[in-house]
Amino acid sequence: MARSKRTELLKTRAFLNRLEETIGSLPTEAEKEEVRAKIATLVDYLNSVNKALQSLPSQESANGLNKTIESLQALITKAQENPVLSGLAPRRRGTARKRTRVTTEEDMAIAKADVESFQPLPVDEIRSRLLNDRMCSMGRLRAIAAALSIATTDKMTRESLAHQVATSIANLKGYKKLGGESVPSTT
Amino acid sequence: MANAKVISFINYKGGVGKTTTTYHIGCCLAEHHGKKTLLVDIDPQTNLTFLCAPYEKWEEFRRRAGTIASMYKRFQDKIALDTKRHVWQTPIQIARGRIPNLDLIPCDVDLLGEDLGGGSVPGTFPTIEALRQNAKQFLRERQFLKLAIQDVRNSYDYILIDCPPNLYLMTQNAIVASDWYVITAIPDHLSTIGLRILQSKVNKIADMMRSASTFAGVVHDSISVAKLGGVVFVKVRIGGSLITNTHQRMMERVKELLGADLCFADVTTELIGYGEAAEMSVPVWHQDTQNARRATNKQEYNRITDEFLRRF
Repeated sequence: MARSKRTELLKTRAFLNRLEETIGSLPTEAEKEEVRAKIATLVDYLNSVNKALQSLPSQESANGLNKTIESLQALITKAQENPVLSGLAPRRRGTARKRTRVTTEEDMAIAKADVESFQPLPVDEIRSRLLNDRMCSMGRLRAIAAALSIATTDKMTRESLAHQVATSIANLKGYKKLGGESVPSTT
Repeated sequence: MANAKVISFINYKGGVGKTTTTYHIGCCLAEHHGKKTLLVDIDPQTNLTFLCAPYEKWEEFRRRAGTIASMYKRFQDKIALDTKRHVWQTPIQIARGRIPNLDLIPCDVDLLGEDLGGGSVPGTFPTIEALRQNAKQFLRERQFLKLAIQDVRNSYDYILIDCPPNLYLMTQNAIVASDWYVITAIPDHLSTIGLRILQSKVNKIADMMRSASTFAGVVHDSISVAKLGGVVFVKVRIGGSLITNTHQRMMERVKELLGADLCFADVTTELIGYGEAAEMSVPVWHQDTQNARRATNKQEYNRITDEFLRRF
């Protein structure tokens, strides 16, 4: 545990040096001052923690270290949000930037209408319609999933997505019925 | 097929993973180990049932075949239970096909009215005098599930019963019908102090059954109750890659209290993937989301099921 925090600190210090070098390119003076103040405080604190790490850390210093790392994480998040500094912030290994799929308002409106039209259908019928690529394109299926707040990935198969959408619609209808609400009767 | 081993999942606390554990062990036994498994849902919340199938399919099955509630009605009316008719075969639909070897006796919210106390004998744990006066009725009311299971016991390797979060009549039925009971618990203070109480209450049910059989003139040997088969810790909190100190300490305390042998070595952790899979009525390894894959990769229920097989 202590070792991983130490590695984290070394990485963070490298990041802080790079951050300081380019601080001049911060877009506003207020941001510059804020980050400078934080860095100065953090560097001082890190130096003292570094010394303390030579011996076994006490519970108090471990707590302090946790707080420092939390502050650094907050700082890194802020830096990542800044277009100038985002390139400097350390990234987790292997985390590729997610491709954002654009679902337009129009797509969403169609998807919501699709969900409505599926409501009266039996779950097997919904599934079979969604599995049929002539009746429902993959893009449309993804939009329906989005309308139902189902998280999708590029790797998801049609079967998997169709199953999740069909089950989700059937469950929504079922929960309403269990709660005594009226729902479109299954045709 | 051998006589099925019957195991109940019990805790009078709610939200301690009884249903999720019953479901995942059942699915793992059936799908990964080829064990013919029957799930029995006796919790009127019907959560296990809805983990197996959407409402619409349940409603259709209930109309056609009935649920544990209609079986209990038959029992009260002294009509043959006809358990086979109430068994829903392979109800769990996955993206491609169904989970094999896994059947279900579903529950019903109608059972709520039947599960509010100890049956017709007053009190969940009646006095000796009340037992003496109602011994035969007391025994009969607690043998419904045992009779129901008897009809199908030879068709399965395992029968897993998901109990409601109380110790009322249906849970007492499960204790009488089972060979073992497994407690699921979150390793926090309030959950763990209840474990000894739970164990003593189950022992009390056994004592009451024996007393009632004496009063009713029934041979003791024909009355048996479940033995504690183990404790599974669930929703264990992880910090970094380790179990948090508080949960670790609580688990150690339970091991000291009940005996280390009784605690399953593997645990489940707090993971969003289980909830996402539940929403789609599939076991976590069939749910195609990042969170579910993360949970699947941890193989928590696979390892618990391996241990389950070694124990039972």
